[in-house]
Amino acid sequence: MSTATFEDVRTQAEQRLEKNLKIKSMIIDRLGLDAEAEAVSDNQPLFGRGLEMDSLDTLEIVVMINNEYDVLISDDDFEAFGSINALVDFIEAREV
Amino acid sequence: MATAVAPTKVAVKEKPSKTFAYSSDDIKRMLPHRWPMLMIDRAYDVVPGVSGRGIKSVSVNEPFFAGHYPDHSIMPGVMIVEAMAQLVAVVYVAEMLESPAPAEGDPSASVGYLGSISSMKFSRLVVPGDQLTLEAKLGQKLGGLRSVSVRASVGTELAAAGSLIVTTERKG
Repeated sequence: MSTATFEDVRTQAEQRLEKNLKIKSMIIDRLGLDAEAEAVSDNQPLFGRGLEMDSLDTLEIVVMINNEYDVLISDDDFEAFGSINALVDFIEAREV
Repeated sequence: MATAVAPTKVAVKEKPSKTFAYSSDDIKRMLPHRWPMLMIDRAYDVVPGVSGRGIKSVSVNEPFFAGHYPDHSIMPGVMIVEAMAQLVAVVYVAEMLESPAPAEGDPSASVGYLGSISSMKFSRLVVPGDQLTLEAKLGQKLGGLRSVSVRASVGTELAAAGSLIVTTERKG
């Protein structure tokens, strides 16, 4: 059994942050939001006072994620839209 | 001893989907639109809930040509989008009509609204005498919303293409 080294953990964390940033930029581009990807927190809500997304934006994101990662988000997967972290967790759990 | 066998993909020959065609009289039973806003004359190759094609013959008598423009008749881009959206409605109303147990009541009452014109590019002017061939492919859905890809062409020339979001139910 192998144990992850400090280096491994750090690389994983860096990759994750990069992925979060990429998804934030994709959302901002796709929805034409007036925001900087770096200024969006990984845990802030996507709806309401967070990125202020609405249901139409949500479907735009569903289409975008399917095109980019081949991951389907359905009506039952609303936990995916809790935050950027929740969305990336959802994608990582299903990505091939 | 059991050996792990990698799952192999079995090629399944897909059964061709049954397609339907609808005349303008059929379409009037499927959509609530009427003159001067009924923008689709015929639908064909309709796979209910999936995709379809339609025809809109553009006549100089269309009321919008009176003002768009008085000396230069061109079909407004938004009217092309309206024709596309009406074909989309035919495709999803067809799903209700052609289901083994269609719901009772007026199917046209379930036609929803245009939610978003997410992207649209217009590549050619559409003028009196043109016959628009419309195509719609329904994509992902989320709640009562549905993403769709649409195209309109005149002969072999692309007139407009893009993606929309429509609501497949009516509120309020």
